[in-house]
Amino acid sequence: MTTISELVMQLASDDQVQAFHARRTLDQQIYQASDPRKMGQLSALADELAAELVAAADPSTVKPPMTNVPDDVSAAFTPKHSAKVRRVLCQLLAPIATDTQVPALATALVDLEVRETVRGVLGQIPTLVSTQALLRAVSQVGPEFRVGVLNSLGLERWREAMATLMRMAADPDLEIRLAALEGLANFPEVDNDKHFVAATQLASPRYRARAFKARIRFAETLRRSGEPENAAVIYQSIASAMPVGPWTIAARIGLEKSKAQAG
Amino acid sequence: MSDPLRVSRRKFVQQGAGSTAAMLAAPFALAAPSAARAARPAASDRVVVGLIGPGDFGRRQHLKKLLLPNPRVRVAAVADVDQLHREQAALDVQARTGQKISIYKDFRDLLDRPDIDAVVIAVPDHWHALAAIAALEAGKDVYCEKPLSLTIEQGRAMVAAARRYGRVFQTGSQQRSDTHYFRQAHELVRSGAIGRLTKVAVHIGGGPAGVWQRPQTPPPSLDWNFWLGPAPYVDYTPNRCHYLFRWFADYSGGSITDHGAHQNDIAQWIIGADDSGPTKVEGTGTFHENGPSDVPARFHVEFTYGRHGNVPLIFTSDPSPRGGNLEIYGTDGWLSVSRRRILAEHPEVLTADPLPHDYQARLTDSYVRHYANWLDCIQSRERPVCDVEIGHRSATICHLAGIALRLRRPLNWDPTAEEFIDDAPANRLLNRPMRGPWHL
Repeated sequence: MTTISELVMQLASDDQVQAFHARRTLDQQIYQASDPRKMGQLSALADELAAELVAAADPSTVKPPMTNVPDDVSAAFTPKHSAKVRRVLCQLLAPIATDTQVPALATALVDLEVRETVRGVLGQIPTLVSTQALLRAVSQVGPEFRVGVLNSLGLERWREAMATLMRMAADPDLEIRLAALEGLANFPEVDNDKHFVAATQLASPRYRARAFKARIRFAETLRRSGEPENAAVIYQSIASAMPVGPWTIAARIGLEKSKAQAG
Repeated sequence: MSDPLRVSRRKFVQQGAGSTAAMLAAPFALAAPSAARAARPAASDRVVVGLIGPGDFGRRQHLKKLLLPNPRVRVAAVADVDQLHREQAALDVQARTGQKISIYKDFRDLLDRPDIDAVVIAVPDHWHALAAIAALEAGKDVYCEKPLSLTIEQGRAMVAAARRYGRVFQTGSQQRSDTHYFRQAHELVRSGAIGRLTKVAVHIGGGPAGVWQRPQTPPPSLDWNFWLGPAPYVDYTPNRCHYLFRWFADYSGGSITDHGAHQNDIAQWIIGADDSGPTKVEGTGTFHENGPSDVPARFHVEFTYGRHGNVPLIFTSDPSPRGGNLEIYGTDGWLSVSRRRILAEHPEVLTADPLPHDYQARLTDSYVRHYANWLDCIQSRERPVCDVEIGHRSATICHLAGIALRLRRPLNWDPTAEEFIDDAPANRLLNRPMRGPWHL
């Protein structure tokens, strides 16, 4: 029987059909092991894949260390597998990774070639351990990557994630700020409304529009979380705010739903 | 002095249907357009439409057959990540109307235009949710091609956005607007013509394996990274891109979601589960042995509708016994339905067919009616015949099939909570990570 390590090597094959077969076999093993009655098998499989993700290249083939790059980059290891294979490993891990694989994923999160895909995997793990790994990535270089991290944090339910999003909602980079707000919109914490209100005063029409839309989502989160009165106050505020936009209609709709819900 | 009771359609739409009650929208307008509505309206009362994705199907079907000949519509702009597509579409519009329209690479620029009332979305499946939600949040009414979504979670987010903004959303499952075969089958079942419904079987073909190609530099006209958008990064090969994307799991679900979305939509309608779904799913299937297509090639999936009399739905790539796409069984007979014809075990139950037996003419007729229903609803603010919730539920059937084929074990589905029961690994397949900066 072909081992996981051998299958991962075959993912890099120049023979596209062989690489396809390897991916298919790995997919099948994952899905068969994902039966809730076989979780032990799944965990072992995930461990092996995570180990391959961060496996270091043979030292005799490693190039001299990079210079004049940020510390977190220079500290990165030289991986055994190509970026293409490492991205596939992340895709394989996305539906099965758990806390056990977070240390390996956190290591790969400083790997510039695949960190965006790793971020996606961590976002799929619904635990505080994975969230904490994402929190550490917020300060990495690269605004696009940071936006992605904030997107993932916005799907979490931990107060630690919310606290970071609140902090980033004041970031001078407007893309970062709006991404943080869009994430905050998923947290039913009425005190956060001040961040949305501030962003709706932005000079840029496009960012202002995004802020209004995020505030609409925020109000809906409150309403769906059993706070229709708080939601109604926000909807009322949006409905009477300038400029008028699609959010004005959404606010009127939300207001009616909130009133109906509050009875 | 202006008359406050006389509101133009444009103003009506821009004001969000005049009243919130209308926004909350009673379900289902009639499919057939009235003669008055079908007549050429004043230019100021035409629905101003933007087309997102005027490539293959977007151009030859939506633009050339449905939008440009439609007197109730004015095409104002197109957006596509392929320069050739957007420029060709603009030339099509100019040739037909004499008007030059704006073209955009980024659909968000099109959505920023306040003069555009509605958008037609004909981009690849992995873009449907992002484009549609952005359009809804920009206050546009939406016609979105099927399958509605790439994942079940995306579909639910689309429904939520449509309701949040009070927009009219037609899913592009035009068989709902077919005036004879599919509608007749639905009405026969509802009227008890075949007795109590005992089984529905959906038969569609599999998909092609495709051919392997070496990664290459994308053509200069195509922004490949933008085309990929939320999907995982891979190097460009033509066989993953325009039209052929549907045979790759990163962007679609293969024939299961492609043709399957159409036929499962009718099956759900016939079972009476438009706002619900099955409670169990189990399937077996095979994949193309040597790729490159990585979606199921042959399959047999069985659903049980526990909340609808335990009616089983069979969804298979096998040919049907009578050649229909839908085989509908009742205690008093069967019906066999496709886009080409309807058969019955007892032919006397069938009504006379008023339409010519021309496949293309029939197909076009159903599209035209589907569009007319959408445009009627933009005016009335009612929900169209294939509202976003219906489209989402139909796509869900397809996604459930895909998940069951991968997991190869029986799955219990809660159609209210929209999650698998006691199966965390299966629930992880209800969504997928999106590559940044894209997110729902």
